Amino acid sequence: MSKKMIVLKSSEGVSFVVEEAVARQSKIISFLVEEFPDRELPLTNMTSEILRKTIEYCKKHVVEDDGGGDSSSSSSGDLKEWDVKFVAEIDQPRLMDLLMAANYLDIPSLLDVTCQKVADTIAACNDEKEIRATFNIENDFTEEEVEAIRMENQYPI
Amino acid sequence: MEQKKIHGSSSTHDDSNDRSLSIEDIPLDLMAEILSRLPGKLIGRSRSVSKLWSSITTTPCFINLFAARSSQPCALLIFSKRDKLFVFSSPQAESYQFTIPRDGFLQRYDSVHGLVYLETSTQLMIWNPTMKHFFTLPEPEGSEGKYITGSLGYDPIDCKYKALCHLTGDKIGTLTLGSQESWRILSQGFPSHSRRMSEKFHLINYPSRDGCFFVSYEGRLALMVSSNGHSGIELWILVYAENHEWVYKHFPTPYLRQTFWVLRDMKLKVVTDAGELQQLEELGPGEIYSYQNPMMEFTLETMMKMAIDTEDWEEEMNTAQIVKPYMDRIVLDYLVTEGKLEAAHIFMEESLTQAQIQLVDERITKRVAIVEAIKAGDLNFAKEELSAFKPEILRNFHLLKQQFIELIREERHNDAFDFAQLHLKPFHEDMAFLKQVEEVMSLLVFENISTCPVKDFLGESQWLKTASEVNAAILSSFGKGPKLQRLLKKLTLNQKQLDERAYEYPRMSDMSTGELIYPEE
Repeated sequence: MSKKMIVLKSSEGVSFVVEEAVARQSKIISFLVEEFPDRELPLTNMTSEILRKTIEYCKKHVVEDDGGGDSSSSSSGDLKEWDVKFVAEIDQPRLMDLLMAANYLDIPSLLDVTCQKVADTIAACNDEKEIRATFNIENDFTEEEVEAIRMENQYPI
Repeated sequence: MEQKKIHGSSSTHDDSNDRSLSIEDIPLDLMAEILSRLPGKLIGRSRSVSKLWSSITTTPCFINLFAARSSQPCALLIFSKRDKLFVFSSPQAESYQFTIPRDGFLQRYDSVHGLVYLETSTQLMIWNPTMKHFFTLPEPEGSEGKYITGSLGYDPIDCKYKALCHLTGDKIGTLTLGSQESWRILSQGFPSHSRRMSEKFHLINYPSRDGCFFVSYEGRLALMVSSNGHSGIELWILVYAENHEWVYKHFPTPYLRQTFWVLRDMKLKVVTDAGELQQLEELGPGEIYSYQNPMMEFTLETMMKMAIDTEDWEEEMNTAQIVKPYMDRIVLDYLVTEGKLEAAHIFMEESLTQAQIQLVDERITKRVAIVEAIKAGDLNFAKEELSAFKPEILRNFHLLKQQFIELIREERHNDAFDFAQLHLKPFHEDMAFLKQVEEVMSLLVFENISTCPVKDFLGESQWLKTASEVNAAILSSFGKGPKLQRLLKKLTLNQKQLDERAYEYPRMSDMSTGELIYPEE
């Protein structure tokens, strides 16, 4: 294969060999590849699992981007569908990891879909208690504060 | 900070359950990004999740992020009806409503940049419909609970809302929302309008005095005249404040006042996100459909559906007075026009009605006599009576047709032929009668008419048909059929129109019982 390959290393020390074009969707890797060509790039804050997921996403998107102009409208629709499926399959804690990975590696499109997924999860909750339970958030409001918020949202008589 | 956290989590990687991050590890800017994707209604809810979320969603930075996300121009539609205020945001088609308490009745409302300003008899209030949040402005010092009037403005330069109130004694108070706790009182005379950006007040001469209020139009201050006599909107736009120069503009809008009476008291005001006036109309609801902005169409449909509730129907139905003499008259009218004179007599006695219908009216007795004569086959009597009573009915096609049939029955074929030439042929020109003329003329062709395919013309039912046609012709020559029939036709038509627009309303499906079926809540 004539394509240039680069090596990414997860926090567990597992090496992933990927095409440069795939990895370059991350602005950070793009920058690192130019600064340090022909070197292994250690991503010490990413587990193998999350790194694999991230590469899977990038592979899909690089293929679709190469697909060319004529079928772009239908393929972008398919891609959207694929994205939705991609994030739907991830459980909530992994989603946070993936979101952070997208943020760290600076992959705007992946960050967009993961943020949207989190927002959708929040929106799907029926009340604030369910939001807290879903995301394991501690309720740090006192009784009085809760009451104050409740009063604020009512029409003052 | 977030990097440290990630390192921390990876160092405990032997415990796989703890390895993943929680939502609280997400940096603030990302969390703001996520929360800004929530629909407006849910942001209020997210504020009560935790102190952190509450603080994220109340920063000006977040609000700008949220506003930027809705790239389409957004408009807020507000209208009040009785004790309810409805707010619709478009194009998201979210809707909000709240009930104005009876003791503090709403005097005025206005909307600026997504906030709704409410002025009641005792308080000035800001309502954020997206957050369902009410904020009562503090009472200005020395106002003794008396406001003259107030208004709300948005300053796009430092992204702050500013409130203004006119107090008694030519004093003005200003309050910047979010940064000022109490009113700043200026006693500088009574301005007709303040230019809040520069916080300088000028006294501007009005071009017109009565029934007008201020709006913003294409970045300028404008004065809207609520015109009673004119259709459309009249605007006076302030061009130069220094020399009090105003320009007049008139926007014609179609008025279809009568279409919908239910919404007669509604006022609609549409303000875009930037606080610009888009349309303002006192709605005759027909105008909703002639409303020019396609972006609004969906919202207006929902709005209409919300606006007419069961309460409205009941109120309207209760105010509709149907008195007994009127009802009696309709019944009697029906009996009389249908020729049921005997029944009409009995009804009059039993109902003790005062209805002024002359039963011995010649118009009724004659008509009944003529119709009965035709039914009995006595055409000559019918013709004699008609020539004195309603000669034009002698030219009625159905009556002529019957006469032709009689000539055939009497086997006077030559006379029948001449009769047809003279009287039926003219109807041949009329497409409506063409087929009937051809059918009945075919009687001339057959040798044995009692076995021919058109033998039905000779039967008894043909007399009855002719009688009913002549009856209808006489009635329509007086200009009307039974009133009850016309009312039911009108009801059916109106219900059909409502059905076409998919409104829910108490529907009368069974005309014979008149029972109303209420839509399910």
